[in-house]
Amino acid sequence: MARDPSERPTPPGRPAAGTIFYLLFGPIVWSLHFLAIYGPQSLLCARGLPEAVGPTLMGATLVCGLALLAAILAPERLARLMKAAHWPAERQAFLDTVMRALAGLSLFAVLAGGAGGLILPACPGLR
Amino acid sequence: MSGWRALPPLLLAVLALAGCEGVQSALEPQGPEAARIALLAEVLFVGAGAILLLVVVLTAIAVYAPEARRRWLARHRVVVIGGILFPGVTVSVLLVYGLLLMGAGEADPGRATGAGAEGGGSGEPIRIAVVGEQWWWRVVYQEADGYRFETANEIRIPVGRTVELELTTADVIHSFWVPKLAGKLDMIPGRTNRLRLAADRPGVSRGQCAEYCGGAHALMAFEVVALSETDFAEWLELTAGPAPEPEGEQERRGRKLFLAAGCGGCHTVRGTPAAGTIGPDLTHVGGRLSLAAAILPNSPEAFASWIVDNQHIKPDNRMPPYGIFGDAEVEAIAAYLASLR
Amino acid sequence: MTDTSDESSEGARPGAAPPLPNEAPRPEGELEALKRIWATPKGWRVIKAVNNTPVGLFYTGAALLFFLLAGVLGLLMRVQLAVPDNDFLGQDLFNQMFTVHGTTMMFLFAVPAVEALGVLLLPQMLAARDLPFPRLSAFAVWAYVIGGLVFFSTILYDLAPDGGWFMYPPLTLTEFSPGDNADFWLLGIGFIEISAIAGAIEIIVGTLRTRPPGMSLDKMPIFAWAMLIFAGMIVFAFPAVILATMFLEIERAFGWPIFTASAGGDPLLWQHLFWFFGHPEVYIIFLPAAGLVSMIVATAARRPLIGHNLIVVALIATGFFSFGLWVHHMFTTGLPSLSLGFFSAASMAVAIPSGIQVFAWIATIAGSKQRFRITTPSLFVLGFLFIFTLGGLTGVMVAMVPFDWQVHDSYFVVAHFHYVLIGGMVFPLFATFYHWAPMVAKRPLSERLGRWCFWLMFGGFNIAFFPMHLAGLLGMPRRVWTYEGGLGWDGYNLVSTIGAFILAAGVLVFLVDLIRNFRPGESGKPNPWDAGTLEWLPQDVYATRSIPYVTSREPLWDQPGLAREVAEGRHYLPDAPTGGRETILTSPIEAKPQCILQMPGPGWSQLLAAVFMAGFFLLLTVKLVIPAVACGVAAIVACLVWAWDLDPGPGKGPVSIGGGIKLPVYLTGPASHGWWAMVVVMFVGASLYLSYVFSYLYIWTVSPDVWPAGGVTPALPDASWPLASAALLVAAVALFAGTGRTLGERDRPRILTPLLLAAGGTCVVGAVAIEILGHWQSGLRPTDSSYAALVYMASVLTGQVVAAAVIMTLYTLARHVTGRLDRVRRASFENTALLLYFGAGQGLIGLLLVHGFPRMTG
Repeated sequence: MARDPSERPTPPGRPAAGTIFYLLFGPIVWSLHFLAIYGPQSLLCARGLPEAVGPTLMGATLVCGLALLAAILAPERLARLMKAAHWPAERQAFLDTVMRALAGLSLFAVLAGGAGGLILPACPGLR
Repeated sequence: MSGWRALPPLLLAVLALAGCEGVQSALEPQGPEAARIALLAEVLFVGAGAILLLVVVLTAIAVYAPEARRRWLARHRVVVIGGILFPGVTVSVLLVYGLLLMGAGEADPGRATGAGAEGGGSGEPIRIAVVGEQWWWRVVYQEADGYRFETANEIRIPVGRTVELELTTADVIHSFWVPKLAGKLDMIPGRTNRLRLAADRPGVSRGQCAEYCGGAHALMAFEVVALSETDFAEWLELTAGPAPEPEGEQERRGRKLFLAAGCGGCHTVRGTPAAGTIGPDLTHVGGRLSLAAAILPNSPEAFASWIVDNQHIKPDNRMPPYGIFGDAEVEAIAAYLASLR
Repeated sequence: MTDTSDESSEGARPGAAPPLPNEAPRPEGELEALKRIWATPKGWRVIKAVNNTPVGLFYTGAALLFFLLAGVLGLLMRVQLAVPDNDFLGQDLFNQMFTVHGTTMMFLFAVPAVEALGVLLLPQMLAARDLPFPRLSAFAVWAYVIGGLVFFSTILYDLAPDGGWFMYPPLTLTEFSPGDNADFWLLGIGFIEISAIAGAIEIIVGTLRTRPPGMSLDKMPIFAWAMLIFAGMIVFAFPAVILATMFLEIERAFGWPIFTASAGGDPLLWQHLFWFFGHPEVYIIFLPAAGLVSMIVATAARRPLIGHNLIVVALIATGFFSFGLWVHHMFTTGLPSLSLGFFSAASMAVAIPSGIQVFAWIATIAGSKQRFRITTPSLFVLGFLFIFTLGGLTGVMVAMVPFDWQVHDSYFVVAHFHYVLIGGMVFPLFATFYHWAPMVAKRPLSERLGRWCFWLMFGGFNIAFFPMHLAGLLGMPRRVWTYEGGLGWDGYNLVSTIGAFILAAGVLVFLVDLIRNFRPGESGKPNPWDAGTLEWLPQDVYATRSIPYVTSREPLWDQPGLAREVAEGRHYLPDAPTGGRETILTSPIEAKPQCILQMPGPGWSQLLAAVFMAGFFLLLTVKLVIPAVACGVAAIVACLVWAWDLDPGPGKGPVSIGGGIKLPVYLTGPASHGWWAMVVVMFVGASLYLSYVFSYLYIWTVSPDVWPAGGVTPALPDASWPLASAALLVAAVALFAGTGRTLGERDRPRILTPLLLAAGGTCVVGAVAIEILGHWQSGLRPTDSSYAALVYMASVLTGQVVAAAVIMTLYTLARHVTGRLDRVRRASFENTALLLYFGAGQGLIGLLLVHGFPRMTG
């Protein structure tokens, strides 16, 4: 065991923030997707540009969906990118599992959010 | 869970007691939108019941079964299948169902929004503006030729025709809800919400304000009366016109008192000098099903008690109680109002 | 949070049992010293206490008191509704009662109760001697108790708010609610939200930085995960409602028309902001309860949770998705269908994490060693499972937009949320009372009374609330003080009332049990349930005798002899090397010891700060401005006195905690706990400001005509005004950055330091003043329109950060003058600088929005 961690110089490249963001990658992408569909839809409808809603919605869903898919398929690359890949094996396995499962749930939520665009018109209230 | 076991019979007993007074029930639809939602509700209740049963049975197995019989449940795979895949598939189906249902009203006859609206076969929609006020409903009929007339707390509509309600508010947020005809839609300051609904058979539906709007929110109801096309035309003809002349001595005295006491400052009775717009239009108030936003029966006695005692019947409403009248005077005014059919 | 890191992988412990960090027997006097240092003040002075156990007990007790009070209101309302056309309560009183019932249950019971459990259980579960900011939790408790009692008592003299717990304008604007009633809600609850945020800061830093050595993130107990996410959600959700409350109070008091449609405002903005808080709020309450359930299930099954990692996933996913549901409460407002579709989707997605947890619990129960142990806590857990599942299913129903059009604001929804909240939170809470009572008391609660309590509560609950589903479907709207007979609702309402009294009888049995058996103290059997987590180690006022090295999720199951070793003082920090209260500060991911965290003991300052702050808010409510200001000043002084001892400097370190590890006793910079707390505060501020940016853009979409291009509003001030303001903000940042470099050696202060500090503080004040002046000279007045109000709100929001930064700058100056600020001992300065940088950044974004956006959209 590490007898005296305090006397060792701080090893570079292992910030906790990167690891936390790596862990939360999926839901963070979902949040961005949510912003990217709801915000523009409200603004475009208010400005009388309903025809621009569909493409924005589909574009955001595609980009976010692909990002999540990539995270699920290649977690080690994402981890390296976010400087979250240097933990002991046991920890890394935990981080990877949780990140991928979260990304999977987020992918579902992103697709469900996008689904409305296929079925409903951009702006009317339909009552 | 034996506390639960005791419940259903009790509930059944209560159901039997309650009978079927469903004049405000979402489960007894009288129009296409409410019918679609009632069907959705049935699907949801059956599905939810099945899932609840599944969870209860699995929990019972997990708690009480001998080890060999419950071992199959104690697996990671159960969590993945039961907790992720199963709900995932269920909510996906429900989401699509719900989204399709939101657009389903567009296919109703006479409901298309675009230029093809006339093709629906049910003619032009009837246009009615409803204004929520603390604590009553102002109803304004807008006829095709631009003629508008006002009534209150009661909406009559013809069966089979689409009715387009223009919902606004004069003060705070209210919500327009007639469960037998459609889901609710809010009335919000600065906005106009449009609700289209239709009745598919004659009958009375009770509605009520569904957004808390202060003091007497509980006492802000109304009725929607669906009439056959001919009855509706007859009613419309009558109601669009001025108030009938009082026939009896009592009624004539009532009208004189009504006008002399300044009731016309707040109320309109078309065909008389009373032209106030603060309170409900009373031109044909005697012909309505109920009084005071559907909280009193329509009778001379109810008029009388409202005039004297309205702050007790509907606390905080904007009409002052008229203690200045003697009994005979109140009776006369009540008789006059009741005669305004 | 960028560089907190000496987290090295080489430190991983091999499987073989290593020698323990410290030798036994421990030197004489060590235990006595610990006891003396951690002693709880005796008698009435106990209100000075700051240690988590007494504070947690006050907190829990107060929450329970509010539960009972609000419950009595619930019973009175049920009496009123038992039969149609009843006039037992009357309109005014009933409307006040449902407002106070809802508000109290949500703000004064549910959130505080959960925070209380965090304060009470978390340090024990993490084998920390205390939470990292003990006085902050004591402050949070007293602020809440005083504010809560005053708020609740308004019901007794007809001063209670009557706008409903969600206080929708315009009903709550002065025009329709002229009295002080609504102000009691806005200021009282706003104040209590501050206390909730204080608790959240404590919990975030506590779970991430005071775990025992070896308890890496993957070994953290589920409850700690739940509390971490709970606190994170508070940080992002509460600011939205704080902003909404500020808007509404400012509109009520000064007529800035943000919610008035005729002046370009929109009452729906309130609903967006309120529910952006209000929906996550439900999960804020539920997640910790779910965490407690996970802990109890594992203990009663005597095995680790099946699907532990998936439960962590579920908690995190719920935490995020719940922020995408807020319009769920606005399905009937007439928004575009597609918008509703987005929110319906998120409402559906959030069902999956609940599914994961339910099946993980079932699987774990099925995997019990021998049989799943049926005790009072596990009965409450099973009851929870049933009620919560039913409530979750009706939740999926109301997420279906067309179904919601019917049941929204009806008794169906009343039934639904009571299933979710009582099922999802109150039942786990009672399970918790029975499960963890032995940890803080001399003996457990009674199993026999516990079972009575459970069955009465479970039966009564279902009898009371199940019929409400039916009443709602039959058309009964919520928040009605009376109803007409013969609509089919009469029978259901009567049954509901009967059920409510049965439920209350169950709670009464619990109170009897509490009075008969609950005696706070430490002499009980240490681990009566044979549980696996650290809160069941032998405890005393100082928490555990030594802080264990942890190698498993359930250390008491997997590390045999741990309890004995810990009690013998053979693990870390068996003593008090600095002579005061302290615990080990560890790294966030790997939990490696980094520092000895010195903590303050009992004191008056946090208590006085709470009293005066409560006084400030409450006196302001009743418009006694001068006494209010006096209280405000007193509160600031008390806070400064409180803060004065918190930056002790490195004088006593480094010290040994055993196992050859020597730790510093003082840290500054990104690894220190103060820095972390400051970062959390900045997240709160950022969230508040983002809510503001949303409001600005939202109102623009509703009323672009009141923006400068619309013609009715004066043109924006000339670009030189915002440029001057921006220049001052940048200068302030530069001056503070420069100050950091001038800090000298101890006892050799430099004259440049105070000069730069003062100049920096002056610059930010000037920047805000110029921004306000620019708009004022253009002829714009905040009462003109919603646009004008929002323009001035930007300065109000930046102004309050700047005001705090200026007070802290003065404090830092005082530290410098008294020789308590130097190159090493610099935490005070760092925190002040962080806040100032944040304020400057926010100010710059505000300038960009207020001056850039209208120019861009022309």
